[in-house]
Amino acid sequence: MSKIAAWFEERLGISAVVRFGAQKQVPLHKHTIWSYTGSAILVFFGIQVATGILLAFYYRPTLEAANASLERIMTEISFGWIVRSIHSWSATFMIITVFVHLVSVALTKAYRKPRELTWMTGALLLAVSLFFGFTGYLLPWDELSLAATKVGTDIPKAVPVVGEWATKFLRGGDDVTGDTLSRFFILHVTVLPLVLLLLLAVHVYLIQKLGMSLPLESEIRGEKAPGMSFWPNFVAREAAVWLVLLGLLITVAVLFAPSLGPPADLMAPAPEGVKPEWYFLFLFQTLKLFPAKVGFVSGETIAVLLIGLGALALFLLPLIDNRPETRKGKIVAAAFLAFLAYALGMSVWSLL
Amino acid sequence: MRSRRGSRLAGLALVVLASCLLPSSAVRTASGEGLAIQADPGPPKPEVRTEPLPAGPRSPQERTAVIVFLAWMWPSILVLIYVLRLKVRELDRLASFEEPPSNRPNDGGPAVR
Repeated sequence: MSKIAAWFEERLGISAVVRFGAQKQVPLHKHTIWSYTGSAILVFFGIQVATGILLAFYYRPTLEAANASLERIMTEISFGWIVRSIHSWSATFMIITVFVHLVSVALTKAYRKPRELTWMTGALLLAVSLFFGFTGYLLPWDELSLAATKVGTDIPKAVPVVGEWATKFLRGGDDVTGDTLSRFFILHVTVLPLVLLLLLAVHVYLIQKLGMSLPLESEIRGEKAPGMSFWPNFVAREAAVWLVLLGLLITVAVLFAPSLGPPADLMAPAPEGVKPEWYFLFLFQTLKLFPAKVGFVSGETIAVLLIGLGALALFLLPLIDNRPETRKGKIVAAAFLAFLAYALGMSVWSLL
Repeated sequence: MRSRRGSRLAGLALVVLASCLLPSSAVRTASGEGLAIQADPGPPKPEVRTEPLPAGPRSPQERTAVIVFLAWMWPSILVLIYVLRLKVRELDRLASFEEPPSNRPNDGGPAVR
């Protein structure tokens, strides 16, 4: 056995990676608990990849076969309904964890110098995760997914100059058709995973290069927090978190497996109560709040531009909040909390 | 003389041939067999589902398998977490001997004096 291990060690040099993990220190302080969210996202992404591959064995991204192939997965393939349910719930769990991770980094101001790029790649990873959800929502090709995608792909139209083009690009034409379905499928299973992996590689590299941040107050006081080795001390703790999350995911997926709506009909009117996935609800409600016209400009255009500005501000947060310990930093933190309360309130309102 | 008889025979043969072919083509046309390829409706279309399809076990065996799996999974997770907790304590104890006091972990390890 030791000879086999030595053979692999000679070729792969795994001990160097283990040594690096042992030398890497995870600082211990009152915010350390939030460090567990990063690896939890990776676990959910891994589950997404595995279940996605299993679903792709049977799913057919055509107008006639998409809904029927999912019906087959749910009724004919052994445990197909669980695989689909785990895929769907894992997406929800992953996006919740991404949000928690992002909020924890924002509130502890861990994005401050020199970790600006780590935050920016994280914000892009959030955008890619949301786009994953958006493209995946259409794939069952049922009444609700068609109507929600029509509404969703209509939103970019409100953007001046490039809006029309963006909508056409997303739909693969003027309207949501079979071309949109195949386009979303390709984006969902090839383009987005590649983009996500690339961003993830840069994000993880930056975390390894710059290390984990200390609380702001410790840094100001020049304190050195105690730490523990990443490998194996921190990873053993993380493994316990992964096990609990995995158990929760499987239990929820079994008990609350999502049903499959009737096949979409391109000629049928939109069903009542069309709503996007929960993570787009606050944007959906914001759009509904704006009047048709504000002066000479369309209300939707103003809403979309404001949302775009908000997203840009989130992306550039480390550059906006470049002095987090001063009064400016406190104002930015208050504004971020206000935004969180707004998003939560709007989501609840949309559900009522 | 021979040529007249020959032409009569040829005429007769044509009449016989025509009388054989015409009724059969008339029958085929009347029954629509000749147009059957164009008008074939094919296999009956499956009914379009109008109600949501609930997700769940396909059979009692599958239902039992799922319940048994869930009942096995949670105790297994608890046992694994217990084993990991022991492992973490041991690792922290070892780390406390190796590292300088400033780097010692403060959760799970022995108290630093």
